[in-house]
Amino acid sequence: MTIGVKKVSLTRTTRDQIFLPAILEGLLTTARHFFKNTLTPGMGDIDTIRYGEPEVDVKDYYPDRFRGVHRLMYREDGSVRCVACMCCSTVCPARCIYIHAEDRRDDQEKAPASFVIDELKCVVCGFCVEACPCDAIRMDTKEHMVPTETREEAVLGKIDLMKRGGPSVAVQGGAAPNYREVAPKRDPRFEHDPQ
Amino acid sequence: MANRTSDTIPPTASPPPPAPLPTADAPKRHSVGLALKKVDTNPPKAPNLAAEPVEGEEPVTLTIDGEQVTVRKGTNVLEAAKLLGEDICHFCYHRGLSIAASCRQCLVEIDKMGKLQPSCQVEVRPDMVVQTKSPAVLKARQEMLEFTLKNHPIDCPICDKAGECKLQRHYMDHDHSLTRVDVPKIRKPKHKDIGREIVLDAERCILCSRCIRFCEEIPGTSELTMTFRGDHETLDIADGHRLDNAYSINTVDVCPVGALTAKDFRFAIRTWELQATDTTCPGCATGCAVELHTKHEQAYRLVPREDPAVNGHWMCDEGRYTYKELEPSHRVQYAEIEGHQVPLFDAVALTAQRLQGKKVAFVFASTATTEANQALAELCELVGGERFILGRPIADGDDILRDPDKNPNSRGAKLAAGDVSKHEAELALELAGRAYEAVVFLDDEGELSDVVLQGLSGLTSICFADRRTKLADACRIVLPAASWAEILGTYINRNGLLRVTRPAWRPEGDRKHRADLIGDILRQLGRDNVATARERTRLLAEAHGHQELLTMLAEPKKMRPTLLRWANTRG
Amino acid sequence: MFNALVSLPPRLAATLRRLPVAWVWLAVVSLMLPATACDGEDPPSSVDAGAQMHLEPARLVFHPDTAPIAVDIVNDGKDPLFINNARLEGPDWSSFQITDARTSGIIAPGERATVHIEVDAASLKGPGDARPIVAAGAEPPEPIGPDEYRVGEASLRFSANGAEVSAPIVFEDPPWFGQYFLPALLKILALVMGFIMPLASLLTWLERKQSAMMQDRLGPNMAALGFGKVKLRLWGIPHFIADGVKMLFKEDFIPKYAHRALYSLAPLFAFAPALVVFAIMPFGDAVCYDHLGDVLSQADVDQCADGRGGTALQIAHIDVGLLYYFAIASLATYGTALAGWSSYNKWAILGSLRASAQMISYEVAIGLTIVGALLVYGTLEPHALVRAQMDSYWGIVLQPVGLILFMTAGIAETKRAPFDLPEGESEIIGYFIEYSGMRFGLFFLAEFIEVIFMSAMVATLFLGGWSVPFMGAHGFETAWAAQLFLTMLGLGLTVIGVGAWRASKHGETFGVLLVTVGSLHLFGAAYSLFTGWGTALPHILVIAIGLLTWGAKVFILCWVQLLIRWTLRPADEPGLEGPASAVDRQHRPDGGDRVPHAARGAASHLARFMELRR
Repeated sequence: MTIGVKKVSLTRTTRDQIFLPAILEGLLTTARHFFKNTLTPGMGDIDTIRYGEPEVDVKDYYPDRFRGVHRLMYREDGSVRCVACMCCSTVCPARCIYIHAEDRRDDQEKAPASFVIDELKCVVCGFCVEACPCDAIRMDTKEHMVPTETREEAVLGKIDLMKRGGPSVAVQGGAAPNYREVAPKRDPRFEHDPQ
Repeated sequence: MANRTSDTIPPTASPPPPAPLPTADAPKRHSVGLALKKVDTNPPKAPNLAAEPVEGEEPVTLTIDGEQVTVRKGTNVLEAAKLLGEDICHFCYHRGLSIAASCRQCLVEIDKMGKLQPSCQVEVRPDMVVQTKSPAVLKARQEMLEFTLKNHPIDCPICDKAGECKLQRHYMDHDHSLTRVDVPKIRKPKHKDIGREIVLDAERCILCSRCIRFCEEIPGTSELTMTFRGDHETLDIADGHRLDNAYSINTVDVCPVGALTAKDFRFAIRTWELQATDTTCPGCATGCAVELHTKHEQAYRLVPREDPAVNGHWMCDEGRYTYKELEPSHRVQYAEIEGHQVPLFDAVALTAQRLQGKKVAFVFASTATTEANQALAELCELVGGERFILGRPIADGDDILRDPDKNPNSRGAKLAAGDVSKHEAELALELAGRAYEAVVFLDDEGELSDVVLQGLSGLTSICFADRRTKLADACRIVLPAASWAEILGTYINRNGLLRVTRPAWRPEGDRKHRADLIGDILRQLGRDNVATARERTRLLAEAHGHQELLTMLAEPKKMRPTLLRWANTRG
Repeated sequence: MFNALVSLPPRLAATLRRLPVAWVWLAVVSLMLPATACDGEDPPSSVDAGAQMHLEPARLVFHPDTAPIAVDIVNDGKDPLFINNARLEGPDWSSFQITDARTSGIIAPGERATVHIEVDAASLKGPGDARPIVAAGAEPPEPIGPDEYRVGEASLRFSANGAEVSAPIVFEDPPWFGQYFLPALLKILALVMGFIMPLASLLTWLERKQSAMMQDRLGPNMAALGFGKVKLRLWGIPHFIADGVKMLFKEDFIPKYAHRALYSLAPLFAFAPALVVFAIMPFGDAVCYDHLGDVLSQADVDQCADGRGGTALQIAHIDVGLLYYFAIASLATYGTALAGWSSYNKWAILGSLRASAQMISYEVAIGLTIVGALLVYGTLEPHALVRAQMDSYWGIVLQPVGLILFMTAGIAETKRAPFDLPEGESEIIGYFIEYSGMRFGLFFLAEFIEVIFMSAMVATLFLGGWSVPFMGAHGFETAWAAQLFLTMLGLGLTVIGVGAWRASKHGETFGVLLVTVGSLHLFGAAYSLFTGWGTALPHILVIAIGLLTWGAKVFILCWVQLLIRWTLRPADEPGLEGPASAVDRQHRPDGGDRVPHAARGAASHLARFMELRR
């Protein structure tokens, strides 16, 4: 068995060699985009989300699983859900969570005396949310960390984190429904066949 | 004061002659003429710990999982399997306690025995054939775990034992399946204050009775008991009692789950963040083998290490608190002259200058390491001066582990200082009489009398301090010494055994081993060939034949602390 | 605007909302367009309706070095014109002389007869007879020295069909300041501050905005002019102000081992020639100072262009104009070469070597391209070139290949993609790698000024400069041309206005304004249709139209250059697969459209070809 040699020749027509028709074609294409985007109402073909514009609420655009600034959830009685198990601070790859536990002397026993997240160190990986056994810490605020004038302002304490928080009624210990069963159907946009 | 051992210790200078001292692997030893009761260091009623065959006894050969193993007669199957590296999971069995066989977790299949047998309770017999991984055994383990977990609250997030919990570990190893229980769990008292040191969470208890057996067998106080029956069986204290014995925190160590927690360690830190350093308790002359658990140069607790020659598996509550003196905020980090922070070299040079041609009192310390005392003895020989020995005062003791002599190194200090009969009282008198122009303190436990401190005014007072004390404030020159958690050093305990303290972290600032600081002074005084602390330690280890320490000195990497998260050494 | 429609039925109102008023206007005007094809009425006589003739130029002005002037007597009427008894009269008639003319004859309708007159300037030197009459109480004028010229006056007289006609002849020697310095200064200020710098600054924004629009991006849009609570974004145009402020306040960094003097001078070397070459650029025909409201003939304007009674809209009238351009443009090479050398940076000197080589090489191509125009129009002087194009055909008609070659070489001369090897963004950054702040800004501006200059050169050489087709110095040739011009202008303004209106809500005011103005132009076209307006326009309006036309041509050519720069980038540059979202769009149901592969290939081949040829 021999290896066949396939000869490929590049044919260039006169049109190719003049260059100008192809260049004109390209100019027309870009010009078409220019005029379409300039003259059509709205934004034409521009897909950009105009983050920061006062009339644009980026929360409408962000997916539900977008990871924003942390928040701490609370129970029905208003106390923080966190039990200071340190799972988040343990799993945190940036080591940006600092928790000191205290004895609450009631049914909940353990609670954070202080819960501090250094948002400057945070790498927004979301591991803390995955690790939390109590649905206490969440990153579903859809808020970016706002730039601050001093480093201290970016270090959020328990009060700051609970200001963004909300009540959570998740059952501790994993008795929540299977999210796969209750999850909505897939977005039909993603069902499109690229071909 | 502590003038108790002068008649037995030969008054030689360093290094001490090791010949009369017993070696570490002697099976039994007695107190060496101390004014103490005779102490049996092995805990009572403990089973024979050594599974290896002993000369003179007929060994037993059996087959475990197809492999032959020869063990000493009387060993149980669980220990025999351990020789083969097969760690049969168990809850209630403890090497230091009697056997209850109540948890049924260690069931194995034994030939010619119809039912599965608890391996902790079955003694080995010749030609026994044991299966530890047969399907029946694995199924039994899983089902027993399911029973055990039936009423367990699974509050691992708030449980101090999480990370070193036997239940967690066995679940992950042997069960690892979802619960099938859909009936409410039995509620039992949580957060019950049952003693000075202990909090009980009865829900988490898996009823292994280790703590009950401990209280019966080691301190012999029997405060703990089981109440109610069946599902509602609950661990509790006996009526009218509290768990207040001197060894109560050991119940926390033996508890395989987080039912008993120590108030001191409660919620302080998660166990997987801790680093463990094998070291020695500096609380008394017993020198119990302990692990120092630390994180970020801060100590969190002491837990006993198994050492049959000294403390078995236990340590006293008093000793657990010796880590408190390692508080970071109290540390002396830099040398001070007249209260001003100076470079270490300046302080050393000034010390050397002030010691030359003066009448000096050298105060040895029975709380400091042998190396430091030896170095001070060398300095004393070079400069010339009077010798004193200071230490902690005598306190309560018992015949289990606690020694009335609260100094870890009384014998070592005696060995180094030689024939010294002067103690705190004499020092106070002579200082008041202006007998000296300079005085050097090797260590200080913060309990010096005010008379001594007043006597320091007007003369050159030098102290090696690892933390802020009244003495450090009173002395004109303070040299920053490393504490016992930062150095490799040796104590000689009441039985003449070499006890090793290992570094848990690097000393901060200018802190140094006391022997090295004195070595610097010696060099300033023109002395050549000054031995470093490591060299002194090696000499001591060779003299005592301490193989483990010699290996460690050869390979310093082995001294590094172990992260509990990966080691899983506890529980 | 549609609030009045609220009371209508919702469906109708919605339909009307979707139908912008501007399109209604367009529809109406489109219906009117065929009607404009028929001729309007005859244009009214521009000079002298009674005599049915006029002179070109109407008023003769002589300077000391003026050659003989030809005066055309034009018969505007429908009957033959009999002329006789042509002579010179007036206080200084003896200083003027008719050199070559028929003193009598018949001029057919539409024909013209030429009278040549010259002046003997020496006879007007020193004090003469014709003393200016000084009004009582007024200060007497300064006495005239023996070596100075005095003002001489005479008049050309002849009888036409029996009627006596007189045309003034003036000799003057205006002072240097008023004749040369002041007009030049004003023209420099107007051109540089009023056109080049604003447009160059605007181009820094336009380049980013236009490329964004071409690539389906947003582009700069955040900088705003704030007036209290009102913030004007203006599609991001204020970005160039922000950029300028930023550059002024950035650290002025000089590398440690740089040659400080040359390093500081190099941006000026690059920047100054780019501005100086504009000296030869005509941006309009000429201004006649005293006749801004009159209808002038081309001969009048040409006389003004020569400096007699007016000034040409060109800073320096140099006969070797295009050679001047080559001389100055080669100086710009020093800027880049020195910038690269003095920076003490190997990338900078690589870039500067490339830049020098490229600029010098492409000047050859530019020069050879211009030779074509030179042969056709017979002059090197840009103003004369434009005038020649007005008289014959534009360069684009006669020299289409020259236009393409000139554009190509011009882009290479400005060192922009696909000829951006000196800059080499992805590899060596270029000769200005070490520059920061306003020093870099000068290089940056110089590049855009060169773009403007190249556009102006193309407009001057190939697109007739300031000239509008079918339009002369007196206005449009025919009413039909005026209608066409107004219609096109109105349509253009309306389309842009509608676009701006619909593009964003901020554009509504601007868009409505444009649509209104555009509609007014359309009305103007309709008005011209019925009145024949446009064949005789006041001089100042003709100047304004010329200036605007020139500006529009330059701007559109700049736009085209930007379009080329963002379309024809070398395809081997990473990540440049045509418009940015083209790759995404091919996965869309509609497929999207992309720059054809052939175009990209052609661009890269072209770039490589040019590179090899160097």
